[in-house]
Amino acid sequence: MRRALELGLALVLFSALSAAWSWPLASDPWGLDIALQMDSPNTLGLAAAVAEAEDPLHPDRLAWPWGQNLVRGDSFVYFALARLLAGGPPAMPLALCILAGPVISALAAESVSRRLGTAFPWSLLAGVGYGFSGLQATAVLEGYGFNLLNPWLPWMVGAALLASGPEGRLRDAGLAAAMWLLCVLTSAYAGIGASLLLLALVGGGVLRHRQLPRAAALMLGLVLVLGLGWTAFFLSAPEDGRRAVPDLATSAAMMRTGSAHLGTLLWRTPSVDLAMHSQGTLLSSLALALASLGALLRPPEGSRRLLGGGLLLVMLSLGNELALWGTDRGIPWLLAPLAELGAGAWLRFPERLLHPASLALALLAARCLSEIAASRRAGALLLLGAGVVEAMAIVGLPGRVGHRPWAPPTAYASAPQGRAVLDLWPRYFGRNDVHETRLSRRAVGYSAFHKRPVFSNALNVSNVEDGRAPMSDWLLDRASEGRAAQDDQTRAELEALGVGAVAVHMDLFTATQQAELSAGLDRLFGPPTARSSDHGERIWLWTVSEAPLAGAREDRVAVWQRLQAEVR
Amino acid sequence: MSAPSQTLLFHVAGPMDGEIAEVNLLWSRLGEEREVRLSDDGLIDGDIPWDGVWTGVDVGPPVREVQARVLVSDLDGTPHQVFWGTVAVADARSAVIAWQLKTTQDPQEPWGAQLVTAAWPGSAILIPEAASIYIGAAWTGLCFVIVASFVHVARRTGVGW
Repeated sequence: MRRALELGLALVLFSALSAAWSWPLASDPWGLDIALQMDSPNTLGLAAAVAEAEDPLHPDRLAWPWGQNLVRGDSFVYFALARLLAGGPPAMPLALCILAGPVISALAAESVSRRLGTAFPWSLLAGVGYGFSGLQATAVLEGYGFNLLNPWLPWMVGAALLASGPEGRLRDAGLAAAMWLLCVLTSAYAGIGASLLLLALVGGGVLRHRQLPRAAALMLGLVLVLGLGWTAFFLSAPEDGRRAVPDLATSAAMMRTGSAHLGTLLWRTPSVDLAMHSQGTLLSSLALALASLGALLRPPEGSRRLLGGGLLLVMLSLGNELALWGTDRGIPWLLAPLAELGAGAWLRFPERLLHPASLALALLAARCLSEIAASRRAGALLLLGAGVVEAMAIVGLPGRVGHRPWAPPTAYASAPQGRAVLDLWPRYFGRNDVHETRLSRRAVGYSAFHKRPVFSNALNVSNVEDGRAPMSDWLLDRASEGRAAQDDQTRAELEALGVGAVAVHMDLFTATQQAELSAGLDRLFGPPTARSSDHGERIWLWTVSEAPLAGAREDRVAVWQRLQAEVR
Repeated sequence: MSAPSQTLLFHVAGPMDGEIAEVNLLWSRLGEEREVRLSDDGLIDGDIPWDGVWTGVDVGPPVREVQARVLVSDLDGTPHQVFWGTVAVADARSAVIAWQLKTTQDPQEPWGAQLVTAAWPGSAILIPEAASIYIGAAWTGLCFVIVASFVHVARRTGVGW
């Protein structure tokens, strides 16, 4: 009864904190995008495409005409949630991850904290430190809400500590391995972080007890088998489903961008939200202080392993260069050999290894708080309050979020159903190519609502992998005055490609470009079918074909390849 | 119900020595050409007069980005284009878009502009950045001092090793 009451109190506290932390999302959960960076429309569009696809691992709606191969999609847990919520508002899976994810994750951390001997209410600090960490805030601001729903990691740690102890049971081993797999299926980084933490916990146990208990050996064996199975699944993806391999210099630069830095580990500046993936205040100062100084008090079984594993992950999160800021050149660091081997595209965000680190530190912090409470209860309450203040004010998420409606411009509603929409905007090069990525993501997000296929690739890391830009170049060329003789051929090729409409993002073109482009598209398709100036953009839409889609995917891919060759 | 409206506050921070006669921002809000004349006379709410931060406001239907040209005129009245490009706007209600002028070695184009999170008087891009670091470092220090004192007390009362 008492435990149920405490659980209820924890649920109320975490829910209230979540609503305030991600405010104003709770005021309009299905209609509002609160991310600051560019990736949230992608996350939304992927869920919608998966939810409504015949083949959830290859939805047709994205990366037209190929369809989006999702074997290397990041979060299969998120895709499963999207399928489960199919039929609901398109933003429902993402909004639930952001609103309920931290609550569920925090409750899991709190329950594991109690299992480690931390008394209530001090165990709440473990929940706050893990569920509402700075890295979780970065996931909200970047638009990767599925990272917030990860109760598997605390449950894995709880079971792994039991399994690697002298009285470990086979049931604990199985549970830890199952939770590890769910971490892998939540995101690749969650899986890598969970693996490293698991190794630290088991390795530390072996060093301490001078033996590998049967349950721990079984756990490692299960993890190995599951890991091999997952790798085989990943490698089953065709070449186009895998990530492009960059040159070594790009690999190092990619990893450097996604690494934590000395200046962003505990602190942040306004610039991190302008130009640095919102990476700041990644680790809690309070949790770090309590976890490290708490080692001076009576540490329970497993504490040193948690601290060692947590600090190791903090070291690794600093990536391939130890630098004060992302813009500085630092000294070579632990992951430099991996970057030099070209692994920067696969381990692009070492900062995300801080997710398990924040859990380890939060569990230890709560334990230390519990010890402090034995002698200074008022002081412990003060520190518990400071944990909440840190999540709200130092991480500062409510003051950093964006506020954009998801709804797309109304012109898209006039595009023929069943056929693709080709979005046109100017090409951005060099330092401005971030706009190309941002607009491509937005097109994916719009598709969740207008429900027509789009050419943008929702998993592209670089614009090189995106199929929309070359198609846009091709059509801009064909719309030019000198190509008027090929108008019939252009229309036939677009028809064969399955294009139903062309949507021009007018305000991004100069006045001269707008006039030339409108004239060319009028010549090709007649006057625009729809024009809208709402939801933040001016869209002019030309209908290409309303005929029902005919032919197979392979036929359209063949047309696409021929046109791509023409552009190149 | 009235149509949604978005307030965009533009800042351009330049030198405080009066080298600038005029700052203008040209852009199109959903197809409607706009010219925003920025001022530094304190007449716009929140603007501090003559501090080198030029301020302008534009109110209208929400946009997701601003494709803008920023023109700075010197004391001879010659306009210099210091920025031309796209700026994403993350808030459909209101947003601040700020640039910091930088002097160049080119006598024809004496200024360039860099997007910043907040404009500050003078040429001090780093002031708001540094202030945030001081606050963060103070918080970390405070956490360690308070926790250390409690841990010390706990050890004296027999909780520690």
